[in-house]
Formats: sequence, structure tokens, C-alpha cells
Amino acid sequence: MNFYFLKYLTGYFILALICLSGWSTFLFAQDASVINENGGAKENAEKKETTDINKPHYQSAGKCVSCHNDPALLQIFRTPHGQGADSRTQFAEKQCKTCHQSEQAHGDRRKMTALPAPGHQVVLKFYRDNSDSAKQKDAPCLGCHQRNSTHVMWQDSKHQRAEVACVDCHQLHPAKDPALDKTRQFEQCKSCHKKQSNDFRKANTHPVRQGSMGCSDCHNPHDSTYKNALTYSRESDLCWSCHAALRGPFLFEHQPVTEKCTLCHSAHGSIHTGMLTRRAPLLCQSCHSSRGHPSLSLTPDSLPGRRPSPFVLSQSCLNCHAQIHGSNHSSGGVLTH
Amino acid sequence: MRTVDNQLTVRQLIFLLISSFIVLDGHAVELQTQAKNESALFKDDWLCQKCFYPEGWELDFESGLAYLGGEPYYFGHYTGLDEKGAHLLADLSAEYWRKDATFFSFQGKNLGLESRQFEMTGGRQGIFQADVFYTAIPVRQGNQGETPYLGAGSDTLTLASDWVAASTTQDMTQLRTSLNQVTLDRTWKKLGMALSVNPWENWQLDLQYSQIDEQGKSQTAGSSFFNTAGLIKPINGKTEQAVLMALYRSDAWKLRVSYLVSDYVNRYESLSWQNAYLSTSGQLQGQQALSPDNESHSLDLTASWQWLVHTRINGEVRFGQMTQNQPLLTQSLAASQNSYLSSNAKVETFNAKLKLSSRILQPLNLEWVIDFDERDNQTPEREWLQFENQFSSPFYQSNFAYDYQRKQLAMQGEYYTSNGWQLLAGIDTERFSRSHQERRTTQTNDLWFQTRTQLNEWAGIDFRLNSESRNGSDYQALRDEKGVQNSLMRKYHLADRDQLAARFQSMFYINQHIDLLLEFEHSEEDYNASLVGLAQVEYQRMGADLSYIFSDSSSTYASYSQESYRSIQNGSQHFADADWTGTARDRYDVIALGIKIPDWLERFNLQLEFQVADSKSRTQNDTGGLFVEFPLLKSRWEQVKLELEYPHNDSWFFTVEYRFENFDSNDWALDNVEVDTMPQMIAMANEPRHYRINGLYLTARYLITAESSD
Repeated sequence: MNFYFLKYLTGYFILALICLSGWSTFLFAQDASVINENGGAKENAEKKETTDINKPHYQSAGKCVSCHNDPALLQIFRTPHGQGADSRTQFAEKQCKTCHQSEQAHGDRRKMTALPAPGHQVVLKFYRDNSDSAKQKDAPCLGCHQRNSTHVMWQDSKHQRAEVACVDCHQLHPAKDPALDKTRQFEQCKSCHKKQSNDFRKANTHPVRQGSMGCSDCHNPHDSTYKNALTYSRESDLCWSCHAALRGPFLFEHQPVTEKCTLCHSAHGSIHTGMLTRRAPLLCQSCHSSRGHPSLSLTPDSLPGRRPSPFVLSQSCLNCHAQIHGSNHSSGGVLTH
Repeated sequence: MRTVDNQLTVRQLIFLLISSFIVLDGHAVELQTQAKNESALFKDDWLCQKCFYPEGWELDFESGLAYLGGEPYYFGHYTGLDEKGAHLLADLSAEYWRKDATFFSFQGKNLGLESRQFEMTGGRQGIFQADVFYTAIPVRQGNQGETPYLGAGSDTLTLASDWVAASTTQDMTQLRTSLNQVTLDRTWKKLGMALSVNPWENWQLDLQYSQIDEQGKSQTAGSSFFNTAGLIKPINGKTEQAVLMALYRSDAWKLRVSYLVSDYVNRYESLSWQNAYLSTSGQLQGQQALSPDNESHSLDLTASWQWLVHTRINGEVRFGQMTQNQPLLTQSLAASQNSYLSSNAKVETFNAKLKLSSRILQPLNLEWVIDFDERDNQTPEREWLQFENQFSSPFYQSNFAYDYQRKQLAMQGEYYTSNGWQLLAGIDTERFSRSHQERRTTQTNDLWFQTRTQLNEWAGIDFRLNSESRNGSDYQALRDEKGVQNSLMRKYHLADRDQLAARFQSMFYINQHIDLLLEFEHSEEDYNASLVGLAQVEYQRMGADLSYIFSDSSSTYASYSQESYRSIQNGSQHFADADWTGTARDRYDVIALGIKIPDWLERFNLQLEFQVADSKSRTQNDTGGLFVEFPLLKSRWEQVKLELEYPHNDSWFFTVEYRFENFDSNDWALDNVEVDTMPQMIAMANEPRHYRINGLYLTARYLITAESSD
């Protein structure tokens, strides 16, 4: 491997980091209170103060439930968040007030104010016209969940940058959060990803609409490292995790296959057979025109009733080059064997 | 046929889960006692007297029958409902809680169908968790195909004993009388387990194991240069994958190390078929290599560091290796053999990524990303004698060990104006080097701008503009003994390209009840230096989504979307300048309407949905001014779904669902193609897909809820 490029870039970045370090330290040295914008540090700081269980706000759920007793809301006790025996959960500490407005703030039912109660940073109301920022809404969640293995790169991820709050996708109160249920996840994601949702109605797709695959089988919506939030750094590695038969390495490879599956396939769905981006033979003729096997102009004359041709009918080019993903036959140089 | 040992069964996995559970539960008690003593966070006297903390078992069982009429074969693709008549429906959910956060859950869906799936999870929350999961996906690719070959699904295809070989399909006297109908079905099954443990504060260890079994039949083709035949190949492979992951997190640091190993074993190494054509050289059999056994390993190190007050660094390094050394097949033609016994194929991959993000001024965020990706193919390159058919002389061809190296540098800035606009802009530069390609390097520069804002209480917009250009090194002829590429050909992933793309999205919150989303997207790709190859691509999409919430839980929606795609490419029939132009125009329309009323007549939950997805594709060809058009390719999917649920009491729920689905398609590549339509090919005679079902689903759901612990 040639590390020259890496060495060069590493040097460049170390230099940039040193410059930024000096600048940032100078600008923000006095602003220690905002050390963690997502609230994690503050949450932890608050946790350290929570050992005094006699503080009234730790016994709040009883008061809340006496009014907010809709069975749908009380499903939270069937979720991981409702398990008081787990010291990390809401119900081991501030209960409802971990996420919602404290009683001081909404004691007067006529004023559902968004102002924080004294001493409370987390003041939220999760209803439709909520004008709180994503950062405000996310603070109580990220205090714990940013530490999850799947959330390591949440900060600066596409969803975080687009101000998608945790509660825009996740629901805490139902016994089963639809976003975590592979069979219902698609319904959740499609509320924003309209194009992808329509792709799954095409004639050739992965079984997402049918509930056998979830969006999270290929994407990690909490991660920022990989392109399109894929679960693997290299796109083909992701495809091969299910289609390992096509992984090879083959004796005779088809070069685009080694590079990226989406050079020929549409991962979310296609109107063409095999989830191809375009139809053979035109797709193949975009790259191949060789001596002895010229790029023929194929017309409807090749259809049944005229001069039917295997160049066009049935599987077109694959009628001969059936080993399009690679061949392990010593005579497989043109991907026929 | 090879055999594979050491397969884990569902029973063994469940045993493993239970054993892990018992062992870890003991460990958990110890850890939890320790944790309680340390933090003393959970006290009985905190417990909310009015809260419902379930303890014990809860069961949710839903069972019933689905009755399908019409032609459901292709409806069974992915669903398993592929036959007319009654099908058993069964979903089961069982959960168990204990006051100390011990839990167990079983979620099973479609248990009576081939598309069944389940997940079992158990553990003690916060200490450890173990899962076993299973998913089966039925694949239906055709039930109308016909073939003269016997032995479909095995690795040897033979012809009838009285088969008379001929030069063309029309002369094969036994062809029509010896046809066998074949179905192209297979099932993909994944069974796995996962174990997650938090052994010490700030640490998490995960172990995942899964195996994918795929069995059935799929279509392939066997050619001997002038002649070819549609064949059925056996699918019988198993992939085993294991991942071990360790995570350490602190307030400033997150470190993740994971190791992945994946092993694929194909129970069949080749497909052999009897030659149906007349062979002057006595070639009686053809042979094709099936997917070889292979394995892959990767080691991944990921780190995220909150370095300074507003500066974060994310990085990843990944080392990978893929190997394949399956013995090569012997030559099917009686000729001298290649001397190598296996390909000894080996590919090493390396990926490194570093991302630095800094909010150096409060409204301004800057981000730098460098990404390095390398595929180093270490497979020995050798000369291989190629035996294509009985008519052509054997020739030598090298196997090419394709390498590539990709370097990317991306920078972006994000600025928040005082009046709520978010402005983003960035530049990405990518340099791609490939071996054994007409163009060794390409460089792509992408400049983009995006803005989004909430204009006021009722309207928000998002607009993005991309301008990308790609160029590269000079073209060179490739070393290729078989066929030299037309020097004017520009492969579309290497060619010079200018791309312009714009996307606009606007969300209107018209009032408390009505939302409207409008979307528009347009992109153009211009391959202006490609005299032969893809010349131009245009894509456009527009969509509108309207939703109306007319009570706390009742809503209705309507959406429409239209996509169009046009590509133009040039070809050369005479290995010279372009002499024909092909144009493909695809159009895809989707309409969806729905209504959901959970308290209809204060008794029923009602849901009604109507969806139509319609696609059309036109292919036109212009050869020296002679303009011709292929028949229209089209497909149309329609669905009407009406679901009515009656909650009889807290335990019993009854549901009636009526579903109508219709899928129809026309495809000139398959329409009217019989086994002997083409003189040089024995076709499979698959018809374009279509299905039409009227389904009635009747289910009863019974719910047993746990008692409250308090």
C-alpha cells in the first residue's frame, strides 16, 4: 500500500489542528459551561447531584399520572425507559420530568410555557407545533444514548445536521417504538424520504415494503462516518454481507463489480429487471464495444415474429455472459463459464 | 456435491441463548448489587403508586386465516402467499418482566407462512442482553418457465434419452415434446444471535453471529459461442458471519474496535449440462463454475473525540482481506489443461477516514473530511488458455487483478444567520486510480450549496444545488488478447462528465391540521467527450404530499409523485465512429391515498389505503437516420386495502381486512418468446410477471396483560 498520500494529509491536518486548537482555546477558554452542546456533560453533572432522593421532583410520576392517565401514555412502563431498576433510565431518577416540563413550569394549565423552570435545563413538550430546537429536544436523550455503540458518530451526522430530533423518529411511550421495529420502520422513514419510499413500490426491489428488511439493515441513521449513512464503509461490503456468493474474489473479475454495485444496480428499487439502473443491452453497451463483438444497433427487428435475436430477448447480453459478477472457471475470461 | 458440517440449528441457538442467560444472570446479580450499593438510585419508596409497573408474563397472540383468490404466484414474492386458498396467519408476542429489570421477549410474525420471522431477547437491562433472531424471505422468480433439461435444482442437467441434437432450435425434433415446467423459487433464511454485555462502567462488549442459508433455483445460461440455452442453476450456499465489538466511552472519548469474519460455502461447485446442439468436435457437455467458497475478514477501529470546546474529531481505520482458493474446474473441452489448480485469489483492502468538525465561531461550523480507500488485489496474474467452443481455436487470456485507490478530501461550512437561515456550502475532491482500465485516474470536483430555513410559522424551505465535473488522465489501449475496445468508447464511470443537480423542498404547515410538502428535483449529466458510450442523462422528480389531521388520532393523506429519466448513448457497429444512437425514456408515477380513523363509530379502528405505481419505459434507436422504437415496456401495481378492527374488550380484538392487489407488466424481451423462438437459443419462455389477488384476512387477537408489581 502506498502511504504517501496519508502521510501528507496527516501532516496537513496536524498543522490545521494545532492552529484551530490555539484559536478555539483563545476564543472559548472562558466558556466552560458549554463544554458539551448536546447536554451529555450536563446530564452527567446533574446525575451526580441526584443521590438526594428526598428532592420532590424525583417523585413526580405519581402526580403526572393522576392526570395523564391515557393507557397509550402508560405503555412507557412496558419499555426499557420505564424500568426503574435500571439506574440509567428516567424512572430511576426524575421520571416524567427527565423529558417533560416540570410542574413548576406547567402548574398553570392555561400557560404551557416553554420557559425553563428554575434549576431545570430540560424543558420540553413533544407535540406537533413544538417550536423547541432539535438540540433542546435531543438533550435528554443524548445524555444517555450518545454512549451507545450505534451512536458513536451521531454528532455531525446528516440527521443531526439537518436538525432531525430523536423524537422526530422515535416514540418513547408505545410499548414498541415503530422506528425500532424492522417490520414497521419503513413507515417511519418514508415520512421524510419520499423518493426512497416510492422506489420500494417499483417492480424490482428489496423486501422492505413487505417488512422482511428494515431501512436499518443497510443504514445507520445515527452515524456520520459513511456515505449515505451506510452500515459499512465500502458499499460493496454492505451488499456482500447478504450476497456473499458474489463477493469472490473471482479468478476473472468484472471490474465495476469490484468497485461499486450501484454502478449497475439501484439499491432501493428499479422498474427494470434485476434492479438494474438501465436495461440491457443498452446498459452493457455503455461500456463495451470491442473488435469482433461490436456494439450492434439493436432494433425491434430482433423481436419475435421478425428475426428474433438472443442479443435482445430473454436475458439479452446475459444469455451468454451469464457470469456477469465474475467467473472462477479457467475459461471464464469473457464471463461465460 | 460437497457437505457442510457444523451448522447451527435453531434449537442449538436457543440452547446457547438460555445457557448465556443463566451464566450472565448470575454475573448480573452481582454487578447490579454492586451498582445499587454504589449509586443507590432506585428505591422502593420512590415508586409511583399510580404507575403501572408490569411484572410477569404478557401475551399478545393474533391468529387467523387469509383467503386468496385470483393468480397469486408472484404475490408470494417476499410474502410467501403464493397459492390460492386459505393460509394460516399467526403472530405471537410474549413478554416477561421482573421488578429487577430482568426481561424476556419473543416477537414472532407470519409464523404460519414461509416469510416467518422472530426475535427472542432476554437479559437484565443495563447489564447484559442476548438475542436470537430469524428471518426467512421467499423469492419467486417464475413458475411458467419451460426447459427440455431434466434435473432442475441439481448440478447436472441432462436431456431426454432420445434427444436428437441439431444445429438450431427449429431442427430439434424432440424440443417441443420434452419440455418440463420449472419454477424459479428460492428461500433466503437468516438465523443469528447477539450478545451484549456491559462488563464495567463505560464498556460494552458485543458478539454477533449469523448464518444465511439460501436454497432453491435460479436462472442462468450456458453458451458455446454460437449457441446458448437458458438453464437453471442450483442455489445452495451458506454464509456465516461473526462480529466481535468492544466499545469504550467517556465524556470526551468514544472508541470502538470490531472484528468481522465472514465465510461463504457453496454446496455446489459447478453446473454441468448436456449439449443440446450438434457438435462437430464431439463436445457433449458444458460446464459453468458456480460461486466459489470464499472468506472475508476485517478489523475496524473507530474513534470520536471531543477535542476542544467546540471541536470534534471522528476517525476510522479499517483493514480487510478477502480470499478465495477453491480448486478450479477441469476443462470441459478435450484439450490441454491449464497447469494451475486454483486461482489463489486474495484482495486486501484498507480504508481510513478522518473527520474534523469545529464550531470556531458560534454561528459558523466548519468540517474537513479526508477519506482513503484502497483495494489491493494480490491475485497472481497468469495466462489462461481459453476454450470457448468447438469452432474457435483456444486462445490465451490473462486474469486481471483489479486494484483501485480512492482519495477524497471534502470541506464544508455551515452558517446560521441571525434570522434563522442555515447556509451550507462545500467542495469535495475525489481522485480515483484504477488498474487495467483505459483511463488510469479520474478526478471529480463537486461544488455544492444548500440553504434551509423556517420562513415563518407555517412554511419552511430546503434548496440544494450541486455542480460536479469529472476529468482524468489520457486514454490508453488495454492489454487484452480477446478483444480490443473501440478507442472512442468512454465507459460511463470513467468518462469526462459535467453534472448539475438542483433539489427544492418546501413544507407548509397550513394550519394546526393541514401539512403540505412539495418537492422538485432535477439533474443533468453531460458526457460531452464521449463519442461512443453514454452521452447524456437527465433525471427529474416532482412530488406533492398533503396530510390532514382531523382529530387527535384520525388523519387522511394524499400524495403524488412523478419521476422521469432519459438517457442517450452512442454506439458503433463498425468499430469506428458512432453510427447509432439509443435513447431510453423511463417514467414512473405514484399515487397514494389513505385514511385512518381509530375511533370510527366509537367502536372500530378503520384504515383505508389506495395506491397505484405505474411505470413506462420507451427505447428508441436511430441508425443513420432510420428511427425505430421498441414496444412500450410497462408495469402497473394497484393496491386497495381496507382494515377494520373491532376491540371487543381489553383482551379480545377482531380484525377484518380486505386487500386487492393487481400487478401487470409488458416486456418485449419476454413477450411471445417461446423455447424455440430464437434459432441459436433454447429460451426459458418465462412470461412477464403478473398477479391479481383478492384477499380476505380474518384475525382474532388475544391479549393477556401482566399484573402491576405495585
